[in-house]
Amino acid sequence: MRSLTPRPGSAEPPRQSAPAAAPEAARPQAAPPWRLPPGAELWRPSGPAMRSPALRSDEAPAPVWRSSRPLRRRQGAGLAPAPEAPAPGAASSPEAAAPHGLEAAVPPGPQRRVGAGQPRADRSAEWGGLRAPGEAELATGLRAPARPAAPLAAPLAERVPGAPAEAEAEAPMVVAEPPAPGLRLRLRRLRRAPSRPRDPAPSRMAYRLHRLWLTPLVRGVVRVGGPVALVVLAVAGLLSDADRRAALAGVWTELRSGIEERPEFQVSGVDILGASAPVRAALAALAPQEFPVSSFRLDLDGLRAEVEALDAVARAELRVRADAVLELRIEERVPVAIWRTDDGLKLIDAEGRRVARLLAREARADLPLLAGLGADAEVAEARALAAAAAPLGDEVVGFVRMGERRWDVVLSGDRRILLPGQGALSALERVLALDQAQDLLARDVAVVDMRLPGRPTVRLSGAAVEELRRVRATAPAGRSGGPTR
Amino acid sequence: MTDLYRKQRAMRQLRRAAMQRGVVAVLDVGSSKIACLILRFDGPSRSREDDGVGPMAGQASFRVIGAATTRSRGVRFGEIHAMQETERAVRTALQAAQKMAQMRVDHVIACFSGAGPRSYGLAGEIEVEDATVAEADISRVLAACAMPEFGEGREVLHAQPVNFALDARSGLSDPRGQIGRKLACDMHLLTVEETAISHLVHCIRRCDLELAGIASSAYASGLASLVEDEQELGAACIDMGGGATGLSIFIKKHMIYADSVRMGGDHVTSDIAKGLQVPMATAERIKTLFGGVVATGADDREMIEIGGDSGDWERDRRTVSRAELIGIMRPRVEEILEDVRARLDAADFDHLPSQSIVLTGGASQIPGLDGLAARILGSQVRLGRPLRVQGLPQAATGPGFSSIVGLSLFTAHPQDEWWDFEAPPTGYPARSLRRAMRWFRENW
Repeated sequence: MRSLTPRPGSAEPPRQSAPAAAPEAARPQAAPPWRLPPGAELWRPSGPAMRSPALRSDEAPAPVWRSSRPLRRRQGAGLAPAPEAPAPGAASSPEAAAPHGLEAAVPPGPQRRVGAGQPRADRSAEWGGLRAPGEAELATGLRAPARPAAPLAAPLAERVPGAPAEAEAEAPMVVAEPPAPGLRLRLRRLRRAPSRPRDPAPSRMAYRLHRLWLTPLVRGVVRVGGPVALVVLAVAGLLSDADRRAALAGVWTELRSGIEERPEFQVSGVDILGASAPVRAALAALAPQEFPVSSFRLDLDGLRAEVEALDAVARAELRVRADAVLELRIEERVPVAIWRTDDGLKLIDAEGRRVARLLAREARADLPLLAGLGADAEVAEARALAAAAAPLGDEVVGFVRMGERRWDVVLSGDRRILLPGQGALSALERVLALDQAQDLLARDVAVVDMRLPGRPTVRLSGAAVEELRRVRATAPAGRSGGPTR
Repeated sequence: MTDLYRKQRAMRQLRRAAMQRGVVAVLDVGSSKIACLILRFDGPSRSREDDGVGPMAGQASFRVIGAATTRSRGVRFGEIHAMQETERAVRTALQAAQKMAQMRVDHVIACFSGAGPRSYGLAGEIEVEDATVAEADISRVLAACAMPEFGEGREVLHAQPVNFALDARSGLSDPRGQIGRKLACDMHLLTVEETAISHLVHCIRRCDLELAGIASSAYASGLASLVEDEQELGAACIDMGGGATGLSIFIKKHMIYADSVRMGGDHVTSDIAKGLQVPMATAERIKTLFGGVVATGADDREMIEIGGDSGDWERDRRTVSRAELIGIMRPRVEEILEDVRARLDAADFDHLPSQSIVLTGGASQIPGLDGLAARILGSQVRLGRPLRVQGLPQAATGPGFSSIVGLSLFTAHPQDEWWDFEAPPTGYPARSLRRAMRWFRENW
């Protein structure tokens, strides 16, 4: 508002250059307190004729100005104190109106005060509290020096003859004004007004705060420690209530099961591939029983470990197929030998792992029979021996691991071939060669001892020894028997 | 004197603490600008040998991490005139530099140019106690220098041992461990007005900082703008600042004389403002853009618009020729240089083996100054810029910054001063104890 009511000494030029009457009014007084910008010359009435209100009214570009909002607000502001001051001249003193050009075009007169001033007062009351009774005084007090308005008004009023028509013409414009801005707004503008150059130096407090902010500890506390502590405290405060914790857990499980129960994740059945009937039955007992089941609930690794824990299963592959079926692909162990222990007969595979129990030897007559402690660790050698002993056919009863280091081949009739720990296969082949050449095993031999490779030995049965002794007694001396060789 | 000794020792202690912390600010309180650099010391230099960077003069051991310059306020002739204003300006510079460095500094080393520096050459001589010169002998010989009467209200700014002589051999820089009987030393003492220092200390205290050292800006700009050979062979550095022109004479890498002329670039500006009737800001601008000291024929035709800024934009549009401007500037610059010449003559600069003169400082950027200076001061004149230090912003590499760059070199490698040595024990018990110790050492 400061700009609208020029103070003496105010260096600010008026906003509009149109104040036609203003210079005239000011002339009887001292020089106007503001300086007109150079453009003001254009609008200054050059002669007395120009001062006539009729001329002024068509000279002023009224419609344009009325439509411009900020200007209208300024008008309202400029006229603010007017309605409360109905004293002639004081309200519409040309000086008060001068700087915002519009009112200046309206020469103030008594008619105008009656016609326009009254409705305006009413309207400002409508606009809610802005025009408190004492505010006019306050506002004028704020715009610094009160001017002697009354002596000014009188000559002006005399000078303006054709006021009434003019006032009528201007009335709608005045009515259209918004109310004056409140006291607070004016105060704020006043406060902003003194435009001293800003001191670039920080205040002592700002400087100290800045230094404090640059202190690493403070910085860390404010930027990291504080927020973290705040969040932790807030979370701890929220979770300290048991009900809220339970509710949160409920929300979580609901959310989780909502996703798990979706049809995309349901498994509808199990498909067992590559298993024989007994194994299939065992697997069917292991596999999940209720379908459909969510694939999130299936512990495939655990199931696989369980399946592979079965003796008959060498390897298992589990996967959930695209058609929502759990596929169990099994590779079974292949029994290659029968191992007789104290518990009974067992089928074992090439690695010596137990495959299944066997109730009767005859059920798998095709497999060699092993016995003895540690036989399962040397299944491969036993198989090789069995293959080598194939020419003996049914005569072979089984293979006995002796002392966990060597093999005995047990033949029918409780005969044995004792094989060495090293080179058992070649020793057996040698025995077979002897058998082929000299029908060794067809003779009455109880044990063929090949444990010392350089010294094969045979033990004859009791009857044979007797027979040998008898033959030796009768036979001419100097001829020794073959078997001792 | 002991009071001064204690104060300076305390400042050295603070400087050591700052070094340990690794961050220290250097502050140049000048008449036209206040500059502040924040240095970070990372211990030994990080550059390796194959980088081609040697240890140099210590300028590789620190890095500038913050720099700020602000217009000086309240400083005239290099002395603080309006304390509050200066404090604000110092605060502005420090805050901006700290903001750039993103680091808080607690120690500051400052320099200023004015306060009427006066140089004294002192000499002292003692008998060496043992056959070999020990550290205690050095401090004794420094204490044996006869203190001149430099008057009330003056304070010692620098007291640097410049030369040592042992028996007949002179020119020793470090006589410790050498054998001889008579040890003599020459010391250069620089005193300034006490009030100037206490004003500066007060300003810096008000900024919550501790003063860890103080130097003469003439000395600092000599450190930065003289090359090593010039410092060794003898040279004068003339730091033409805004309100004062400092000069320092170096030989054998020691400053042997410093003085200041209370005139500078601001006086040239005010001459222009008075002569052309323009505001100071305009005068400064005209001086910076069009100034010179040697007029040629072309300068008569080159017209300079001096917007009077009197508000009458249409009518007040005066112009002057550049020759007129030079005509205003030149007498003042000549006056400054003649004053400098007088000081140099007083210091017997003519008798130095090498008489090179280096002009630096903001006012040395007047075009043609080197020619004019050569006519007045002697033929070996060059314009000097400060040494390049790591991290110095491009804007702070001009000659106006040679004193602050020199101050950072001074911070990194301060020269030995009198107070760097332990004061010799003067009391009776200490002396007799030492004698007893010596007797034990010799006989057992």
